[in-house]
Amino acid sequence: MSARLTAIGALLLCSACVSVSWERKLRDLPLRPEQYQQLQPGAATLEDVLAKLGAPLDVWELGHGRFALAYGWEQNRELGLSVSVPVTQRRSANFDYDEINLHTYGIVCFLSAELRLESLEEGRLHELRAMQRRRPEYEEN
Amino acid sequence: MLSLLPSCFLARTTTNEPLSAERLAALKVGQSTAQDALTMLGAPHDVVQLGRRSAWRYDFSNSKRAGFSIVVVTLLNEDSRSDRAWLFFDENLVLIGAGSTLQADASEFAMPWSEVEGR
Repeated sequence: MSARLTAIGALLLCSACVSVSWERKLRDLPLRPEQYQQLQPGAATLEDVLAKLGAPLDVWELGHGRFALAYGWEQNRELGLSVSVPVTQRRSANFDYDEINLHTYGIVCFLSAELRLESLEEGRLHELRAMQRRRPEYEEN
Repeated sequence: MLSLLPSCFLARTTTNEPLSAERLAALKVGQSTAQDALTMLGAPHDVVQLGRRSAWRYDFSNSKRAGFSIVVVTLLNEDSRSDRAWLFFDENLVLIGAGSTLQADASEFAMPWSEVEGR
């Protein structure tokens, strides 16, 4: 009986400084490959892209009339263990061990100034965006 | 003993107002203007300048979170889906393209291991 109480007491004490978490975060539905594999660079237009893929997650300018449409979705799973150890009355040392799969996959459609699909790239959206994003430019008449 | 009892919670968060498919469908490429969009949909949530063109974004998001916690273990699932529409206008503010995705209603309360429709 005392062993059980000790175990329960230890568990309660642990709950203040140790936590184990399993989290899943879903954001939007992934596009099906057949949706975008039918889009032919050089032939497909802005209207074709929007009709096949719907509304993008983000849009940004590439300069000289070109722009990009990004479609993305997430399925993150996080397994975490957090331990916090009090070292003084007011401060505690803690560390986290997280196995985080932080992937936002998607595709980016690059469109020409003539509103034609130039190319389509697939991968991690934040990497594709970081490579291509630029500040909006002012165009003289 | 009370703290040993399992606890669970459900939470829902929405942002902006749901988009109307009928109003979006009323906007016609090559005919509708930015003024028509303002009348039908109100002010956009974002405007992106694309040289002389512009793109307007409308969105509504619906997030459902379900969690379960017992002593040191926490299980949490969040399913966020959006209604989204982008309208593209030329330099004369005439609609040259419109795309919409309406899936916010399909978000689900679930656990991290359970199947979610559409995935």
